[in-house]
Amino acid sequence: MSNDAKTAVIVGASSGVGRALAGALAAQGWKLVLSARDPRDLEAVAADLTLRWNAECFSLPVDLSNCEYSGAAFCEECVNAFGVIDALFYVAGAIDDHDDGSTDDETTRQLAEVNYVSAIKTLGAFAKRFEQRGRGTLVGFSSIAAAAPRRQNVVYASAKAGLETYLRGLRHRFADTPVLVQGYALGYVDTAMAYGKKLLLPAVSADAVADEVVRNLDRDIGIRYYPAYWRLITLTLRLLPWFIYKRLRF
Amino acid sequence: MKTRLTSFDGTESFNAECVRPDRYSRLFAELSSPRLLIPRGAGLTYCAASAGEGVVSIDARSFNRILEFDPATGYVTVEAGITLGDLYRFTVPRGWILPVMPGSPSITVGGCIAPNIHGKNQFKDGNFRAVTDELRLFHPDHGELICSPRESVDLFKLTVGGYGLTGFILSARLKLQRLEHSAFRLRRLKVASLSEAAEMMKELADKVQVLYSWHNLNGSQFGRGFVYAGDPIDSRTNHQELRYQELDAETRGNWKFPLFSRLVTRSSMAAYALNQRWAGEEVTVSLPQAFFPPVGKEFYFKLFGRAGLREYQVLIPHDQWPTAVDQLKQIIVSHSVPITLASLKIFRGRGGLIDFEGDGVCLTLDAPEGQMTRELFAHLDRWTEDVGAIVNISKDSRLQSSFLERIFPEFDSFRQQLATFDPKRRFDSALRMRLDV
Repeated sequence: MSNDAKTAVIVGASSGVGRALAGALAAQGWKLVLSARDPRDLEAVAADLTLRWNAECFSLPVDLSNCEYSGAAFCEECVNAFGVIDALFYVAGAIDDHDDGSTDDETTRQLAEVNYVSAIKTLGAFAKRFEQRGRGTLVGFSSIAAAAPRRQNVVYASAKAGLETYLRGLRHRFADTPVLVQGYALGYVDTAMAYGKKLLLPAVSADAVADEVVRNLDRDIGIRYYPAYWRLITLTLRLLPWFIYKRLRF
Repeated sequence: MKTRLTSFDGTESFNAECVRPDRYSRLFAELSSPRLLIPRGAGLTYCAASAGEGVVSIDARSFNRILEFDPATGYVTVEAGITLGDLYRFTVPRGWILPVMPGSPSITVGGCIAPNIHGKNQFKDGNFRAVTDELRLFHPDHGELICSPRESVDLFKLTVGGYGLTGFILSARLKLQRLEHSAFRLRRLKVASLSEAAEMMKELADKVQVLYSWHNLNGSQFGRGFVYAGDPIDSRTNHQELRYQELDAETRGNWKFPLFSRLVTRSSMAAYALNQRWAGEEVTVSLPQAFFPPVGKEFYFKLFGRAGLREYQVLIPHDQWPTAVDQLKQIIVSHSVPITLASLKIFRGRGGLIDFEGDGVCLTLDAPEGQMTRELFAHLDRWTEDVGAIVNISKDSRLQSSFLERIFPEFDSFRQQLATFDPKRRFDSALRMRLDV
């Protein structure tokens, strides 16, 4: 492990895309702050990456659904662990099977916290840090549901739309600076969120998403749909007249 | 997810529910459910050991992390959902290898523990229990338990070879073997009969690392074949990289119609024999080729079509072998069933309960699913009982408890121990229902 290895923070590192991303970065020699709710999952992921890739990992359990969660305090802990942070990946997300837009207050709050409020708290805290340092990469993960909401996952989709808007704004703020702001609107990915659901198109693997993210790390890509064909599909869906859109079951 | 799960041999399928937790909180939530449960790996056990009507199969493959590794002693602790291929890719570059592995790298470690599988040379390496040093198990009524050859020994014996019925294996500590070579010299020794092969293999069993045979049991060539004996060597031209196609029960049955008829089987067996003869007596094979011989030949399983295949694997005591092999020929010839695979291995040891382990000659037969095959296998059941042999429960979806009670002296003990440990039958499967344990 070289001393000039880059350091990334992955929020939501215990499963799905976050875990795949941790593996892809570890394979390239990055030092990692791994964050998720359950310490046991984090310990397992950290042990695995350390053994497979000799990666230097620091586990930082965090409850993103807690309204008292502080992005600044979290950022501080990450910096304390490794000194310098080069990239933040906010991959965490939450869905609820009963999210039809009229869930109880607590469920709605938790969905909003994890998918939006804690996301922008974290991205905002690291944005400040990266601005002071003069460089860094901020990556957020949205969903195709943000562009084409439907009757299920209503709160989730609206939170992701908010996150996407936030990322666009942040990218504009850091335009022409070395701080990069990237967003991914993910289509179907073979994770717990998609497992067992009837999907219109095949789900891509979390590893494929991770490879795409790592490939684009130094590029000012803005908000990118992955797989790319989802841009066309969501654009088509948005252009559909309401009398057709309302009949769709997707 | 409500789905239809099929046994790897394609002969059983069920309306089942499959869940795939990807973190411990979700796993423990599933395991605390009042529904009937069974852990599931790649679903490559021939019989339906990880599925059943009304049973929730818990896909363990997200739990595939390496937790500890000691490069000095070769002990590795892994979550049970890790595949052998993944483990191979980790251990081999570090100079270690898991010595007991079945043929497919898609099989999970949990899938090796559940049927207590054997590898390329059981005589030398034993079954999977021999490389299992410790297990961490979760059962909703008992919580987390540790068992090993030193601690909770009875539970350890019940779990390794217990077909997932004692709970969900959270982690397994395995003993690796030092890998001091980079390839294998595989000798291909021509034999005229099963008897000649068995005699040759008994001589070689403690001298080589890889040992199995292939025979043509179709037509006038009955019993002719080759003994494959592999010795480790260093080779500059070797490659250790493992590449393979994932195998699963669903894609195995993608081809609607079977391609194995008597004529096709005879011709393909003859062609294979010719190919092997031309290939010469000796060849250098890479580590992946030696440890996972079926890799690259996955299409073999697809040739059986949606109807599937039947496998009969029997362990015949050495003293009964000469009589047994004579009777075997008569039985097979009398049934006119195409035998698509016939292979021998030499075994030793004493397993107990329902383990496929003991001193003797292991014979494996494959045939396309069908009435004639079932009649042949029923005949083989009587032969097995007559010669005091045991069968591999994981390979054959037909086997009934009445037969197994007669051939496994400790079958009832297995049933009682399981009932004592899991009296509410929290873990269940089509296999458990069929075995009535």
